[in-house]
Amino acid sequence: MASGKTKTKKKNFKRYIPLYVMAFPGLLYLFINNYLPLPGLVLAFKKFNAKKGIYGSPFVGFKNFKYLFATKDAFVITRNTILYNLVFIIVNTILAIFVAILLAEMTSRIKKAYQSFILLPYMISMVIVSYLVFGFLSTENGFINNSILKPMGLDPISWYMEKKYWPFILVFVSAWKGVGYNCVIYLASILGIDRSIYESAAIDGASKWQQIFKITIPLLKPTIVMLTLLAVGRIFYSDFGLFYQVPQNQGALFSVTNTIDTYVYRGLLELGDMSMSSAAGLYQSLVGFILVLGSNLVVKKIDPEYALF
Amino acid sequence: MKKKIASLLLSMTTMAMVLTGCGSSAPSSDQGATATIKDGEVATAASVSDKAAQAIADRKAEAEKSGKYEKVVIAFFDWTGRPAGLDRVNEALSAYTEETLGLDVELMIIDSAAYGDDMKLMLSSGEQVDLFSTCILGYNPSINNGYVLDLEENGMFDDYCGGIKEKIRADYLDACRVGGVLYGTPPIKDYAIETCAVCVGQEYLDAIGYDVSKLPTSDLGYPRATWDDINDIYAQLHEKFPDKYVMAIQDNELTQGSSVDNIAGDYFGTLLDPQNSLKIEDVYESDIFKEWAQRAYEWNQAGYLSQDALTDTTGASAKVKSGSYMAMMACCKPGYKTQISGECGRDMVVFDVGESFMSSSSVSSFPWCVNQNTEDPVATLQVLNALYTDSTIETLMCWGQEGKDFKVNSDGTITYADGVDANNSEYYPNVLWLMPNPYVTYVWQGDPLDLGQQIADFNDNCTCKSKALGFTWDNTDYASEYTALKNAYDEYGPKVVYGFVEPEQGISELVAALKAAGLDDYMAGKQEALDAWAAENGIN
Amino acid sequence: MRTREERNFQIFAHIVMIILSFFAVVPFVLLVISSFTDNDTLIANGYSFTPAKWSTYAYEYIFKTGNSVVHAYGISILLTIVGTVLALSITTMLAYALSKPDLPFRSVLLFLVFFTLLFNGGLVPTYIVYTNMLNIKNSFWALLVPGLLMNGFNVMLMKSYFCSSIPTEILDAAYIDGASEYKTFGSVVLPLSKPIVATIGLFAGIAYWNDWMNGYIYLTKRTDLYSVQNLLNRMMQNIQYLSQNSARVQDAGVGLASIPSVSVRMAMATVGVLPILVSYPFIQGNFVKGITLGGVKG
Repeated sequence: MASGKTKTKKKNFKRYIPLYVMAFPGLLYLFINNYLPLPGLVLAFKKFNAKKGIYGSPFVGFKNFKYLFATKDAFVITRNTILYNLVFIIVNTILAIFVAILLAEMTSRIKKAYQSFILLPYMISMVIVSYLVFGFLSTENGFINNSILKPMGLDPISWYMEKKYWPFILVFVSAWKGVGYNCVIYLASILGIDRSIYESAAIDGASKWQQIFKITIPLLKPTIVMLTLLAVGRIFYSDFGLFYQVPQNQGALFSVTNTIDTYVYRGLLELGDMSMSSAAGLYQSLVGFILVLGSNLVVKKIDPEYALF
Repeated sequence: MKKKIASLLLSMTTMAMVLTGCGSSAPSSDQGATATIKDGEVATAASVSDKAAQAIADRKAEAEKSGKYEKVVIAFFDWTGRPAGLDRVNEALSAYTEETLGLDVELMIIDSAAYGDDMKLMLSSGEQVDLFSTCILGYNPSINNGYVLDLEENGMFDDYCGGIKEKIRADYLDACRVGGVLYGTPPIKDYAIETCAVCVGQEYLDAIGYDVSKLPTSDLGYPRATWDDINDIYAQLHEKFPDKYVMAIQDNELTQGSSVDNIAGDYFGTLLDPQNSLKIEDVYESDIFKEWAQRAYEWNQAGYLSQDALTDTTGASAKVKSGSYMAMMACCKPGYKTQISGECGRDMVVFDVGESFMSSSSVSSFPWCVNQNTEDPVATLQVLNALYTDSTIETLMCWGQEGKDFKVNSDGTITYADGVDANNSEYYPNVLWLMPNPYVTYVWQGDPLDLGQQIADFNDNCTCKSKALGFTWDNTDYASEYTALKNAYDEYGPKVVYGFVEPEQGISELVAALKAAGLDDYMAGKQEALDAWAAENGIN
Repeated sequence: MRTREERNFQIFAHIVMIILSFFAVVPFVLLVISSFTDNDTLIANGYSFTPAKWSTYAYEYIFKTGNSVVHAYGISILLTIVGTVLALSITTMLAYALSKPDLPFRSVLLFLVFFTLLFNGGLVPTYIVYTNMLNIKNSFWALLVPGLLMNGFNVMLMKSYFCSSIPTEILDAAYIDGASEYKTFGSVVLPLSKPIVATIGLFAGIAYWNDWMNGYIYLTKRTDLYSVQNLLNRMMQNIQYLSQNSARVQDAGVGLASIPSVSVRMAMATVGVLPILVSYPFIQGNFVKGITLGGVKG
């Protein structure tokens, strides 16, 4: 009996060899690209010295992390980073699913053109985006002031001085730039759904909207859960270009635009200290990591199918 | 022809030598000293050059054996990336240095955008870079990260860099010492600046009929003006051209418009009277800053500035070039009028409103350094020495090959070679100001032949030299404060500087924010380091 | 009744998509127009859909200065094709293996993939691995391999698709027919996965096309290997550096004088995006066909 068991195990294992063969190139790449450099993380706890190399440099404990917390701005930058990310997750997910469903259900061939168009903003770098935003919002020459507010008889607005507008502007820019990319992901999932499900629903008299809410969205759940979990992991990171370049680093807007990344950048740019930037990255990753582990555990409790790992 | 060039080069080298001789504190007494030194010392002097010659001979012998010369890699940056003709220039360089130094030299030119990151990576990973410019990379960060070699280790500097000591005055060289250690040698350039150079387009002045000649002439040959004169001009300009902005304002009121010493590289704790006092004070509470804030506020109220001044990051000269701005402020030096007129695309009149000033970091802002990882420090130091003294090497490095990249005019200046222009030039790095010694080679057409002399005089005649010349400070222990200060400044500073808030209120907000960010601790740290430095160097 | 509902839905969808496309395209049109605007006009009057003075100087500058843009396009196209094919191959295979619920050590492997999404060793250690251990500096490999060849996010996406959209019955049927794992993957799984393969292919393609970081770090001597984005980004960053430091770095302004600093950035963005935009629908069509064909043959 014992030998029989090992035999089936062996046989079973043999069955998996092709799978491991297929997985090998990818795993090898991860090993080289991601895991070989990983010990470099110790740099966050060291005072880097080129003479001694990364691994030979002296340990300084948590000193490199100090500057992240020893500031009265710590609360503001953490709050901004997290809140913006939460709003981005919600807004961008809903928008992407909405657009993906529309595109999937469209019969006209023009939908290919639409898809290309909305992908356009994703292809433009944030620096260029910041120029375009400036083109619209500049006080003296901007379109909004000159071509919209003026003809309507309204006073021009100094956009870069008024912080109340910026949470909306940033959410808008983020959605504008990301919708094309994000909707492609959901589009793929929708196209993967077996069409026969819809056909039988239609025969049962389900309306278009019923089909969308009763079939499409429930079947998208695994993708939504996974993407959200992954986004949670990056909740302490912010898109540097979006928060630094788009608001043109304007001081008047800091209370609503300063995030962990922009805060760190302002100091580190001139300090040029590798250990400290490494510490900032490690801190951001670690918090994200803990949050994902936590949420993954919760998800696993509710439905193990949806868990990341 | 060749002979003529050789003699010209020779005369240029001697000229440069004379020039730096003038620059050194007391050339005549030096010579006197040489005459009276004892026999023993003459012997050491001889053995020093013997050592250098011996090292060259050894390398040549080694190359003969192995069939390959060892190579020294020199890194610096330019504005457009690796020049197309670089391989050719490197070949010519090596052909020459194999003879004179017994080694090959390779220039590695990286564009300005990538230079900082690329160098950091190469210096951290042990790739071969022997000599490098610390511009962009930063002198202090380079020392901090342990990239650089102590040049005086084992007396190397004395043995192999005698030429540099002749070219660079001892006090300038000492200005590059950090904690008493010499990690780099400064490029020979203008260390002083003439603050507050207000540049106005000639055509606009003509339009308001302003008579420049009624102003006295400053030492640099520019019209000398007061702020009242300038305000008067601005008012007239504004009246005459209501559709144009009078001034392209920048956040440079302290760096280029004052003699406040941004000691240790930032304005969070400064020397307000750097010539006389070593007391660190907060510039933002000072009258100097208040005056500037008031001035900018008045300009802004009068409608001289663009309402987008805070957000529009276009450079001031580009704005003037565009034709919708009429004036800007910068700092000047000999030959500046030609330069700024070129940048602005129109004739500019430079009003000299300030004074000449040499800040504590002016000399040590970006010295040339040797990688601590260099395989043959002696060879590298000999190359460094040659960069300051050898006109052939410096010519190749600054201008490329004669006949291919440049040609010599009849007056001794140079210009693009026949058939070459700015668009198709294969070697024109355009970073003369970071080269070790650009005055040992030709001058570009349009510049005076004695530019080197003028710059040396300009440095020597500087009236306001910071007492703390050469002081540097490692602020990594104050990284938290520094980061917080930087954020606080970015939040409250620019709107004061650009005159968008009422000065009193703006300044008090800024000062309060800086205080809250830990300015007092930061300044105390600076003061402590400065006091220690002063005691060590016998300055009081 | 249903057809009317259907028609209403289609109209609604068109209206929404037209609005979204408008938002996406208008700024892009502004971008293109600015690139054809005289630089001084841009600085003086700001961005405009109807500029006072047109100019092609920005394009002349780009095509005249530095390396040949056409050559760089060649490198970019080659890189994007080779990179996308390689990236897709290893991503699909790994994702397929990970999609098997009964694969031994699956959780561990999934965790290892996920972990790379959050943590990385940093630039210097990565650089040391690629230059000192693998020695790919100043070669085409440097553009192809570091960072871009595969990323955990795409693997997760694909794995999730395989799990949810490929019915196990079909796979079981293939096994019962005696098909090997490779054959099942090639002729059953891949053809059923066209949407996700196309999506990941698109992502990988965009990543390769837009990347400039690898060239920035690893190509210090082989500037002939610059891709379009390398070339443009370097020009752009140099201009940026020059214009921002012209007040600080003395003499920096000299380099600036002849560069149309504002319009050239817009022209660069246009030059970088336009080709991919024009060819995107065409490539996508053929690409999906290619997968189907490959799947059938495999």
